[in-house]
Amino acid sequence: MNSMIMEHNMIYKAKLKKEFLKQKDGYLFILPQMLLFLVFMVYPVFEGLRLSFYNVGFVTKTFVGFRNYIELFKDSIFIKAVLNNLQFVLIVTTLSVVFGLFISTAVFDKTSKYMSFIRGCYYLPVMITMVAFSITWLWMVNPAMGLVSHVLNSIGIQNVNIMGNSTVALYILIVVMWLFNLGEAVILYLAAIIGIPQEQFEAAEIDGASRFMVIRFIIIPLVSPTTFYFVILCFIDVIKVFLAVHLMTAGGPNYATTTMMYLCYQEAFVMNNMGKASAIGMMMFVIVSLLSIIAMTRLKAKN
Amino acid sequence: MALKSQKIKRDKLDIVSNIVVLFFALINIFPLYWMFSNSLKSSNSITRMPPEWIPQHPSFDNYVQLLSSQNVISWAFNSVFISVLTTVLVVFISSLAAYAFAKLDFYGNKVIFVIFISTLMIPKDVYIIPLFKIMQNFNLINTRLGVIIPNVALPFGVFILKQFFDSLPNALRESAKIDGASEWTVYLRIIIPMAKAGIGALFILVFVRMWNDYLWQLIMLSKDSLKTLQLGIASLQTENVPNLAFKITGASLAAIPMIIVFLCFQSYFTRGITLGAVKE
Amino acid sequence: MSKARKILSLVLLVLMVSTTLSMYGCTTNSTTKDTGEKTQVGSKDTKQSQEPVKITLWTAPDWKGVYDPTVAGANYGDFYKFAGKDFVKENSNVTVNVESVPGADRDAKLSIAIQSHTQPDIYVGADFTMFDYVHNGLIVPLNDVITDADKQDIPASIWDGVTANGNIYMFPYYTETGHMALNVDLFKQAGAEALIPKGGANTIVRWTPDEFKDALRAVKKLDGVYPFAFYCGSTQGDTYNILLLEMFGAKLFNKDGTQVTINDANGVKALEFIKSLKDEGLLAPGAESLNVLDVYQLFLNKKTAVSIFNNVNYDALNNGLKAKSIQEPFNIQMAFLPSAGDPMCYAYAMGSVVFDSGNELQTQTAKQFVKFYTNEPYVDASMSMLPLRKSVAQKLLDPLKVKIAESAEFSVSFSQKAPGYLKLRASLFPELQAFMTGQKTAQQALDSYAKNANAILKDGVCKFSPINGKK
Repeated sequence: MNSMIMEHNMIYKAKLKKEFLKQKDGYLFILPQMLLFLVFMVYPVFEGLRLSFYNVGFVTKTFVGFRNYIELFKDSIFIKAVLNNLQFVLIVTTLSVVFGLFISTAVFDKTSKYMSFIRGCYYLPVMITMVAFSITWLWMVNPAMGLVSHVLNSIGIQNVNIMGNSTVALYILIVVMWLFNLGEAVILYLAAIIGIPQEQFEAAEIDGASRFMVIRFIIIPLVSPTTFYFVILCFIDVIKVFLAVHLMTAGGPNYATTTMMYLCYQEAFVMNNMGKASAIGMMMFVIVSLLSIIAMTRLKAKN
Repeated sequence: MALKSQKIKRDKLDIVSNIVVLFFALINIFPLYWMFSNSLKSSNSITRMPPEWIPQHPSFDNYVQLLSSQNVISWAFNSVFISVLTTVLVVFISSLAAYAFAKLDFYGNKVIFVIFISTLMIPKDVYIIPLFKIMQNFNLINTRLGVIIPNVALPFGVFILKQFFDSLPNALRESAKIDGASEWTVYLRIIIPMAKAGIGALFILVFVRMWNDYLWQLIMLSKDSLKTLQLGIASLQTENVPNLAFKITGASLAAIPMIIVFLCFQSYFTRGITLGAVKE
Repeated sequence: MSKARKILSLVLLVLMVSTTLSMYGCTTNSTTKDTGEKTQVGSKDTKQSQEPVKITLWTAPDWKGVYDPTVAGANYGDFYKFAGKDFVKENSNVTVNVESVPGADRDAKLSIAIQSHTQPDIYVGADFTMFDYVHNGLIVPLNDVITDADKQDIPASIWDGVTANGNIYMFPYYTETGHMALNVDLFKQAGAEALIPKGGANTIVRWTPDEFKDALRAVKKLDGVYPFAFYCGSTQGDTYNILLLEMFGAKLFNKDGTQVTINDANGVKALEFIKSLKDEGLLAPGAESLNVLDVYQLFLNKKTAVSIFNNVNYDALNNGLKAKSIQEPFNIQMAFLPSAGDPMCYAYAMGSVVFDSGNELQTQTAKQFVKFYTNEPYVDASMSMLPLRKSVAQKLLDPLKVKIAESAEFSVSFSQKAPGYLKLRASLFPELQAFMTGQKTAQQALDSYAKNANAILKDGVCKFSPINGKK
């Protein structure tokens, strides 16, 4: 009897040990990532949150509670920046998804050389880097020396600065961001469509479906996971829009193209107020989370 | 896989669509063409109106001048070094974690994963200043390693790979375990080879993001020989030297490495990379 | 093999944990500086002069090469590296590290550097950009490295601009001056030579706003050339904008520098004058998007007939003509900015400030280095820019350059000692943009600017400030 209990105990201990060993593997595997994550991401985020409650100068730091946030909400420039960001994110993402699907469904069944060419063309803005892309566009829209003004002049519209119109300037930046993100959309969607099993298409062909119907009812639903991921990635990438604004318009004219990240940069490095800058950072986080949650629930519902 | 055999009926819609696609493709190419062709001109021919669509006296003078007076080679090297090293580290570390989240059973697996992924939405720019202070404590300011490490900490890789690993069949793994293989062996010998496509996709995505990571590089690197290509080119824009051609040439030069990389890694895009399981 | 890997990951783990722990062990206000790779860093406070000291110098990218900027491979900061080599020979425990920081990034980089205690020891740049740091007590006075001979050699008004409460915060070295220039060849082409103010090519002529406008009108007929270019796309070059706003006698600040007064009737008149130029088609299009570099570019590419013009452009023009990258002929006439009263131009003092590094030895060494390169024989190098020392200016070969250097007496000094000046700049150009795009009237734009500016001034003056003797 005793020996049976002992045996049970041993088996039980062996099982626990095996369980523990199994657990240990899991923890060991995630350890490097988690460690880096905690030190280089979690801690700074909390520190940023803490800083946002202070008024931080070069050498002084005073606790001000929610004052930074209240000032932000009262600031019409900040509100404008938030609205600009929303326009950026929503327009760029929607256009990227729509065009990404459009382009990839138009070319996925052509020769691979053609596909590579298209992929390359659309990915070009990313390859040449945002800096070079923005600089080239900036120079093309330069009112005194640029290509666009020359074209306008030759059709009789003289002395117009398209970047001087608040709305147009914003839309030009949106176009720049859109072209930049479109490349990734094309690549992801093309890859996803290629991954669709052949049987789906064969079945459709047998049923006599038109190309459009195949696209609409087979391809698009099947790549919806890609859509889902791309939308989230796009939100994250576009909410941070900074370079295009910094290099092309400096937030102008008259704050028309200011974005939250640009304001954050100004507050941090020109106004030297890290507290306010951190507050703007926190607001960016809140807004992008809200957008993502909304997107996730709506996309999940569609599925 | 499913390329040529995926022919479905071509019709008028298809032809029109492709014309539109090509049109927009040209819109994308045009800035690049404009940039390159102007880099071959001298400063005053660039501003001439009407513009020279094709350079009349093309020459590589600007390139020679730029390369000899600036650290362009160092910049390019730094960009490549940082991007490649980050990507390699990300692939290694996040695939370990993604494998664990996808296949291994440990207490808190789901909870940790959800918390981890939810931070995906926090742009690095939000906490960039406290992060900078931490890097200073580690004495990593003005070093390339300092640029790399916080990017490896991001949950991006795990986000991409976990879904991919989820879709990998368990059969091989289970039979290996029955044979007594440790998790590490399973990971190395079985999962990684199966996941090549996913890893390839991750490689591209991370590489490109790192290449374009302007703000963090700007803050961390002030020594000219350590700057990345983007930083160097951007700094050319604000110099007092009124040589327009110089600046455009800089932008053109910055484009070249990535184009080469893309051409080399084309093959990774032709495989079917599905993010997330394809719905059956 | 799996065992080895497991050990490796364990080792990695231990390494990471230990570095994380050591981070909390580090003092947050580190007195050591590290801006380079992980080489030997200057030590804590000791009395020994054998201790290795590392001096970091940041410079604005104004000045290429040592004595001659057209030498192949000349780059920004070369002069300091050159002087640094000699300094290191005499002081073997010192290493000198030189970096050039573009103007647009300067504020950001200095801000980050200061907050993370990685600020450079020496910064070489314009006086007005440094005063915010003086106000925050970050810059040390240089009185002990400046001799009476130095004080005699540089104009008193320049010293005045860098002194506060008897403490001299910058050692002025060279100056950047800003005027205007006319492209004489374009005027000849338009048959408008008569409208160029008289004086001769080697002088700087003066003109009133009306004469300025008439000259612009006369060249309007030229094809593919704009008479003038105004810009307000970004903060760079705002000094010119302020001088233009002052053309009818308005002043940016009141006497104590505590209030902005540019929005008085004369300021509004000046802004409306600029608008009238636009309405008559005398300006390059898109002033709200152009920045100062675009405008220099336009002039040097012969696309504008009249332009703002500083001494850096003057050198660039001459070097370009020599190197054939700018085509002959290119004859210019230099002019002051148009004004109803005395002629106007600006002259910044460009020089070196020393940051308080927290380490006595380091700061002292930095000061010594500044003294080193601002004296013979290195001071002659300032001739490749516009030297401030009278003894050096006399050695200049170009008579026009001498005139330019002399015109510093007409420089309008706007009170650059006002705290928060850099923030003020940032609120001016959006107002100008709003005005140029017709969203605000001149009065509205200037009033709005004055309101923001006064708030910034008030905020700055209240802070800790050695200027107010609160030190």
